[in-house]
Amino acid sequence: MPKKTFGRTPKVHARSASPAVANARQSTSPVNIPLFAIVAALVAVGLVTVYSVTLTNAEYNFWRQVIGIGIGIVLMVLFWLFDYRRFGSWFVPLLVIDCLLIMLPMIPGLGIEVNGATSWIKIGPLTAQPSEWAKPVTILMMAAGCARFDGEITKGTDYLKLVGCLLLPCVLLIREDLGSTLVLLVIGFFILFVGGASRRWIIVTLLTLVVIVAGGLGLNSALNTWSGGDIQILKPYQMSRLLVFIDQDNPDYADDAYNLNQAKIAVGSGEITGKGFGNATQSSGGFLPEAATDFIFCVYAEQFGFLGALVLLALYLALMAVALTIGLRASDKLGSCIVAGVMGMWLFQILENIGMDLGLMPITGIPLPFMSYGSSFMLTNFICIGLLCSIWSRRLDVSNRTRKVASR
Amino acid sequence: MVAALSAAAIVLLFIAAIVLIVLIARSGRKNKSRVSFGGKRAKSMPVGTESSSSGDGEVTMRRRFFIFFGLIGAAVATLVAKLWSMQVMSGEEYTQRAESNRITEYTTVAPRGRIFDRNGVELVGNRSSFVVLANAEVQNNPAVINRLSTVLGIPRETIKQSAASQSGGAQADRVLAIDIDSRAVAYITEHHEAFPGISIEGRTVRTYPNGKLASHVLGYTGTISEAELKKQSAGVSYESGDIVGKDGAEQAFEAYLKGDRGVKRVEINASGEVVNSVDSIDPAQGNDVRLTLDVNVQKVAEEALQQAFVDAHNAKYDNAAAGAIVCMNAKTGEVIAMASAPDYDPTEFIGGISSDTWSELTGDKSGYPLSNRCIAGLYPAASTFKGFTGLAGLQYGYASEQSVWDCKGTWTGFGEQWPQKCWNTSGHGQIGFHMGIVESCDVVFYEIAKRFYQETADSDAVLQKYLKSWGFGQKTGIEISGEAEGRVPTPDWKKAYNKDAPESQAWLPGDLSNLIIGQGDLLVTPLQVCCGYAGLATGRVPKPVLLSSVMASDGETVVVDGASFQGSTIHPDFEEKNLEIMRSGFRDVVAEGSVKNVFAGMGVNISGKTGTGEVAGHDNYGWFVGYGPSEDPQYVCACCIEEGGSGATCAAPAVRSVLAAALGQDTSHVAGTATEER
Repeated sequence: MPKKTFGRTPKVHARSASPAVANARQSTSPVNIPLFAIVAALVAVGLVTVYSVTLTNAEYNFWRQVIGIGIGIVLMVLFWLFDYRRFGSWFVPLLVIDCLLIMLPMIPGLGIEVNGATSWIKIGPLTAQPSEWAKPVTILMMAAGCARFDGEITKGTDYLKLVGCLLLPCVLLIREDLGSTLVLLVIGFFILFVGGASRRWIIVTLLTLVVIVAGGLGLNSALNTWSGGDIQILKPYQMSRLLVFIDQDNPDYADDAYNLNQAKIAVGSGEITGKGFGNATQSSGGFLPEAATDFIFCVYAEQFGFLGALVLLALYLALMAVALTIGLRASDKLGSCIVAGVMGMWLFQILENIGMDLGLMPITGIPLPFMSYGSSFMLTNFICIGLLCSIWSRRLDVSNRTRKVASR
Repeated sequence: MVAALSAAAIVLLFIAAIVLIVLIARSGRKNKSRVSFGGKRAKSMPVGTESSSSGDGEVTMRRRFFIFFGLIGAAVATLVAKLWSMQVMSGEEYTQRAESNRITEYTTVAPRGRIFDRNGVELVGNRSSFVVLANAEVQNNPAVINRLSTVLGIPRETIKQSAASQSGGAQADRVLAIDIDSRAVAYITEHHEAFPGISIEGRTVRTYPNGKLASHVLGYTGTISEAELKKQSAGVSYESGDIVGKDGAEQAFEAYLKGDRGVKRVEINASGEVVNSVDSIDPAQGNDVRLTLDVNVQKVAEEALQQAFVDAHNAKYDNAAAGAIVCMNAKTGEVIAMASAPDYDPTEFIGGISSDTWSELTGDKSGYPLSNRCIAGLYPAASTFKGFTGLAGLQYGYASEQSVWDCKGTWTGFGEQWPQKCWNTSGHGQIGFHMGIVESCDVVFYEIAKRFYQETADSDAVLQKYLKSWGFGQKTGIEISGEAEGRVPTPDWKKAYNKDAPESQAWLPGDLSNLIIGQGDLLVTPLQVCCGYAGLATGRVPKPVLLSSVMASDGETVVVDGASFQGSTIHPDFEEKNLEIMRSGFRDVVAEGSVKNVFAGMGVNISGKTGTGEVAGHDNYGWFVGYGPSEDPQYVCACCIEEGGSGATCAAPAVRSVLAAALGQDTSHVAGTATEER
């Protein structure tokens, strides 16, 4: 098709200037080499860190993590081969799947309670956290919703409709898993943002958020007091985590402060070069809880120090940069919106997970991409990579987009 | 250096991020025409036709992607800045906190030093035993306290108190019981799940190879009290549950005997379980103390004391059951035997004394076995005091070798209304100073008292001052605690003592004549008499000492030489010729007087003086103090038997045995003859 060849020619000049895409000089290559290099590096760092925890903590199984990555790679390939553009017309089914996934642990006999939250399911010997899988579904759902407006969501009703569809799974999830709910909100926000929501609506949304958070906390404690603890929007531990973050030295929140302190000690004691592989005394001595999952960054930073942390952050930044180029060069708005959602998810998880270790963010149990122990989120990450690959491979294939947009 | 590298790395990272953004932005601009072109086609418009509306959507998305990436850059920069401040700027502080998480330090108990006699015979040793320790949680666990109470046989309240003690620090282990039996050890270790927070540790406790021997000198040990913990001096650190000396040598030489705690640094995990031993300093056993005591003489002294009671009983003094005997080197003051009866068993104190045993040892009917009567027993010196009052008479010229007095048995020198009797109520007749001492004639001394009364002012207390210069009315300064000062009555003292009874305040002549024969309000300790006679025998009043040397626990290195503590602290005034007059009297007391047959055949010439004290409401207290050899006095020994009757009958045979033992002579008992002599 002549359209195809037309789109291809100018790209050769465009890409040559960017180091992040320098390796992809063969403009037509369906494979984004830098993306794979970065993911491989992150997975390697993650495995090394998880392995160091398994040396002293029998709670975690190194090979389980490896198998998780293996399944992730299979999923990645499947999503890569699958034409992402077909998601564009699946808005309603995606929303339904999203809500079903989130409600899965609420089915008696299937859901199990872990750390006071019913967000896990157990089938035979396997356990999984479906809310992790709700993340890519939400990305696809919101991207499908936003892409229809072709970069310009100017009508208030459209915007509110999209926000409403985003809030539906969030409301279902907030009681059991505040952290993941926030991730979904952030995903939705960035898709709406990149997808072209008008500036006015964005500002209104941000202001509303501030009011809701402030008012919600007030309402929560008021309801709590009035009902004598029967009605709680936030669970007490969630409240405590928030309060300990605001008031880090208050002895009332000793347990949460303990976790925060141990995390900070682990990171800080890594100093510049770290204590070396296998010498993470904070986790091997059991002082640091959830060492391989929520606090994996502490274990890493303790062993490899500031320089190691810089390497990890540089890898994340590079991953984001590659994602950005994919988003910018996607053949359609759907692709760009999906990339925005993926970037939003990673940004928030990285910032929150590392930030809580440093006392910059309140403690929530959300994992660090490619690092944290646990396969549910690892699968999600590889699905996202698969989506990025799918978008990248089809960046030059304009025909479908034309057809789809025309059919709208 | 590394910090500089890291700083450079951050700067580079920022620059790289900015360059990246700029480059992507530029590439985006270049692509713009294409993308907007594509956008046009998306609207199914003919190729090459411009459409501004669709291009706006592309531009918005592009711009927002860059804003988004800017946010990401800001987030990463924030994290890097915070990491820099934590890992580079405050890294050392966090490292220390990580170390204090991981490493814990505790001290290990050191055994006390041992106590030996002067020849190296062990008097107090150590043996290993088990103690029960509780962590800070146990005090809130009544079930565990109840179980322990049953297993250990200690009252619940006692355990509760020990478990709540914070003297060693809020988190330190508390000692609940010491020296528990192996049955309890086995039970607790086998059922350790029923005793959370309870641990059993091996420690050492005292052993006494010679049983009760010298218990008053050795003293006993006990758990340090809260008060003792509070007043501990700098550089010495005790912890709650430490064993310290409570009496006798154990207490007096605590500083030498105390071991230095070891330090153990271990790596622990979050549950407080020890993972690894990091390093340790072994506890150092305390230094050994060698006392001046001689076990052989001490044994003879204790047997002699018991024999003295038998002698007293034979002489119809059935109440005799308590007494004291002390023997020292007349020149150096080294105490080689010090015995007090009744005595006690120091093993009772191991592992904490029960309140029943304590009241048995301290109650009204106990006979006060814990009291060391050699230093704490206060008695009238009786005629043994004539050694000092006689010397005073010679010194002041109120008596001389040539003086002659007439003893009629009753003396009315201070007026007919106040007759005073000689012990020999039929009278000694014409008697000189020498025979006055040998026969212990009271009238001779009444006459001397009369001269003091007539020729010196009461308020000057000339006689009392002279007696005090020989060490009476003040502590001798022996190392062990509990020493009494005694009392030399003066007009001032009498006035103050009777301040609530004005009719008894006046100093009467009879007070002086009582004092001069060692009666009245005079109180002395056997050790004071012993030291005083050492002074009479050698011309130098020694300070009594019990410390021979302090040895390192290797048993060879001398840390402290006891000789440095020897010497005189008091220097009485006398003329040598007067002392010689006194000594010839003491010699003849033994050679010709009432104790002649007691010391007969000893092989060494002994000098001495008898005494028989009158105590209102009690049988007479028997005294004897002797030294030998008379020609070159080596040892001096004083003995007082409470309610033992005449000193010649009960005390003199005891002193004979002890001096014989000290001088290497036959120590077999020789009974005295009954006499009324005082």
